Amino acid sequence: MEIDDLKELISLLQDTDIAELQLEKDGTKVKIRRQTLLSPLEMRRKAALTVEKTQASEEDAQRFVTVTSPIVGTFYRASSPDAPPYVDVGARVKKGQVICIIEAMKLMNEIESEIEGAVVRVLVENGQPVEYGEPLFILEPAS
Amino acid sequence: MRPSADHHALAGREIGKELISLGTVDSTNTVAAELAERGAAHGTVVIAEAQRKGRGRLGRTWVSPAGVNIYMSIILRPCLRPAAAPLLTIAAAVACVHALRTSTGLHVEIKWPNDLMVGRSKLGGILTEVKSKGNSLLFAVIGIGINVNSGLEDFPPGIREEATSVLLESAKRHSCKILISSLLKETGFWYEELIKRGSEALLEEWRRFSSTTGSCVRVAAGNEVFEGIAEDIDGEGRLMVRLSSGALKPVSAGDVTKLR
Repeated sequence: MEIDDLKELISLLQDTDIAELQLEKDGTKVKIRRQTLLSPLEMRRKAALTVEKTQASEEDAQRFVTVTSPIVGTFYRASSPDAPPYVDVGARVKKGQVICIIEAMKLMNEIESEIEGAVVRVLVENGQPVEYGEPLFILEPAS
Repeated sequence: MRPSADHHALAGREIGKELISLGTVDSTNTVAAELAERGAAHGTVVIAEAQRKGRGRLGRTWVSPAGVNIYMSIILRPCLRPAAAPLLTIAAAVACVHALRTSTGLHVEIKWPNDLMVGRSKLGGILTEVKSKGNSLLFAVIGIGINVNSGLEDFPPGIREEATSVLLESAKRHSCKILISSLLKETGFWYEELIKRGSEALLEEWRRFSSTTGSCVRVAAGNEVFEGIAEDIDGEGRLMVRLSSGALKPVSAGDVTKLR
């Protein structure tokens, strides 16, 4: 078995749900085991997310402001399930304006914007758990 | 809305020194948050006769008929990190149990983290809302709703099974005013205890009053649902649930149901 055959085999597996493959041919044994238990779709999603986060932190270093979570909790974009979100991408925010709620132990923590500017990106889905210091929003300061 | 500061009867401590008694409001927490935004002092208390939009978490309704119950919000400006703010709910819960047990004789307990229970029925609840900027807490509003003299007819059919009042449990009417005075005194005491000496004594008291610890519970948090035994709360007030796998899982979000 040539090295190219192996490469091809590995790339063939990449878009499948196969986690492990064993092959015996002409006295050569090959065993390929993939590290992840995620489905290809989930893997792609995760990869996209990582790329987005990397880009976000690079942009942040330049001219954007990242709003992070001050506590561990659940992220909410609105005051109740029926209410419209506090802010959407593109929305202008004033200094002191509430932009989301983080809930921990039934305590609703309204997070306010420290700057005047515009919402460039919302980094967390409504209802998702967030860690301490996790980026929530990217804001572009008003010039 | 005509706020009237009421300094008598409840004077003495920081909390409740400024007492604003109102008629019908949307929600005392909303009024208190607005006052806090406009610079209301630490310890200012808002009390209403009735609430049009009394609420629990995430827009859930708190039934608030006129003149029979306690609807009260306390503005606090503590020197705490936002992460420690849940301890304010714990302090308010402990204060409520002390006040209610002393004034009514009922065996009131706490269902983690913010419900006041008599047996399996809910007597009251605490809704804490805080506002943070960066890593500092601007203010906290502790909302306390207690069913004092509600009759069964005051509760909509959907919650009659789950809700109760001091009247329903003790077959006796109680003065909201006396209860409020006791609540404010206790809240002042436990708040000072937390700020001056830390959470140790407070958490010990909470454990003593907890109806959740030691029980089998189901936790629904986001998309995740799991069951286990609620063993304790940790130093931050999180519920520690022992899973069937043997792992101990800290719970800081979601709805906890005690299983029979």
